[in-house]
Amino acid sequence: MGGYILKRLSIGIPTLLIIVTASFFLMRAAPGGPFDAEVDLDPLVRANLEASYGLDQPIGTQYLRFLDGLTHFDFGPSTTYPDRSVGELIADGLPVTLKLGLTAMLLATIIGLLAGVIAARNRNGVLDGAIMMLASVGIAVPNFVVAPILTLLFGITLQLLPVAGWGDGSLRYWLLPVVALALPQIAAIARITRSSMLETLSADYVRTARAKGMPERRVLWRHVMRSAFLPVMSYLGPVAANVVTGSVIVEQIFSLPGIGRFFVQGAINRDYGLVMGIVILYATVLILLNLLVDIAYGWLDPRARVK
Amino acid sequence: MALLDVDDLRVTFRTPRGELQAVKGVSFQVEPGRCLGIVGESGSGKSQTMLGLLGLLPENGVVSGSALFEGQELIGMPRRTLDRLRGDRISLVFQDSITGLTPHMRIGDQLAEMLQVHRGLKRKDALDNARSMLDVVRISEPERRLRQYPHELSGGMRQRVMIAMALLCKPLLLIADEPTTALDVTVQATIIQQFAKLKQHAQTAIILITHDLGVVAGVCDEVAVMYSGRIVEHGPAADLFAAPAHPYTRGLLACTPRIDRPMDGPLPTIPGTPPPISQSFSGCAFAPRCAHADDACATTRPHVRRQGTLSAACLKVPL
Repeated sequence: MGGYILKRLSIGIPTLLIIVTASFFLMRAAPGGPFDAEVDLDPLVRANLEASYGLDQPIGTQYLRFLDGLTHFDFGPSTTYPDRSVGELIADGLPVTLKLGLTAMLLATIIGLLAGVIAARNRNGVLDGAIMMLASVGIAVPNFVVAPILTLLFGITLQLLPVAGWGDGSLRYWLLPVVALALPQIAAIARITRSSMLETLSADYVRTARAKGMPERRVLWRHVMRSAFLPVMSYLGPVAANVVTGSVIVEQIFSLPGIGRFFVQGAINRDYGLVMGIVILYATVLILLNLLVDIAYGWLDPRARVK
Repeated sequence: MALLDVDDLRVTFRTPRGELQAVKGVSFQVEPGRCLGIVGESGSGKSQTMLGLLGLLPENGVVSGSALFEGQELIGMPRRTLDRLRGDRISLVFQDSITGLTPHMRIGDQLAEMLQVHRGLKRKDALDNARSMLDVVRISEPERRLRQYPHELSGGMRQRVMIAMALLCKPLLLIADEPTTALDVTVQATIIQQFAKLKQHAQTAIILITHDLGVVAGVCDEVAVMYSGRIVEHGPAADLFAAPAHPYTRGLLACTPRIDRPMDGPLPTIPGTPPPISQSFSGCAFAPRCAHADDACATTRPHVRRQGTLSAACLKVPL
């Protein structure tokens, strides 16, 4: 097991390198640069600025320097926030984003599973129809539509919750963003859970369990749930990716001080260091989460266990 | 009173293309300590009869008729009452044992849970019992098997685990659907001996569903032959094998290779194939394949006629 984890982690390093390289050159290929503001800078000032950030060097040198920085976790300075390093900015925003993302994933998994199980147990019933209709809507409507609707309803019409901001970081501030982030994921997980439950329920071994005289509750919990959860488990990787991309948008809409907002600002301002730092963070999180999912998969399904 | 008394059992499946009758009125009795063999080609309704009996049909299956077990009506019995019988007093060995065990549960837990649920045993005691039952069905290294998962066992071993599972609670009635098909002949013989012993010593009633006439001859006291959802011939095993009354049974027996007779030429077969269950007949379902059939067979539903100890649903009996 330890060897397996090590192997997977070492595969993660080249993956990360490819992502870093691709993002680095894509960012540089985008037109404009960090100092192309609306006011035209004096050429001498611009040259000085660029020299101080090392942007006057050939792109190959810049790339190698950047990689060198990475080996000691230095993402370089931010051009948008000249007095702060990228590391500091990320450390600032990470707690907010982490809280948002993890809560959304947890919420999506719990509610999605619950809704899917209820739908499957009432197959073709009214409840099933209602849940599946909502789920279809949930999948079809993206975050950036859900978020303003939630704000409009709970923030402005009902005046129950603040429309934006982080305030003191209490529940009333992060409830709407988390819901906006989780809703599409709840819908997807509910659909997967339902179909996987239905498939498992018709398995031969479930019939065996019933023939053994096991009460339905035991059949469900001991014989069905674990197998039925497997496809949901595999989907948690993509859920994490969706939550990460979703958080960039949701943080922007609710103006939350997370790293998603830095990401958007960084991209607009061509703040190369900031964008690269966040890309690396997101990629690492996703690689780790996928590894976690695979480990959990083996734990759930003895057939998938690595020897 | 018979241990199990089945009367006019019918199984219908509701499908998008209309209702399909898989079992069209089957009646039989089983006494304690006796073994009934149910024989027929695949699709003849053998398995569906047993699943219907125990409330194990898929959602679109409907069962009607009557099945009294120790005087209690099984058809329409509430799930909780049924759960007390299933696995405890009536147990079932399924045909598809390869997929019949829960993949994420250890063999030991799947066996033990029966004793835990039905007998209220502690897990440890239940596992002890399970281990000795694995010995009975000749599984090597039972201690290790208990900790293994189904995918770590061979197909034959899984089948024997299923049989062990069915015997664990010492049922009054054992229904075995092709229990030995997946096993090699030596293990098959052991299992059949085991069944014979159960019948003799524990007075267990057995229903053995199979297409293997050799197995039937070895252990069954009575045989019912099914064709297209109906029992076409029924009687004591010895008489049925010696002089079958129904043309279909004759055909089946002729198709069985025998070691005591020289083989000259290819193995005989019954011409044609069984009718699809969607097809309905006003006459005899076997008539299209029957060498003895005439116009009357195609239009008149054959009623049961006696030939000695055998009863056969055929207009031409006695042939």
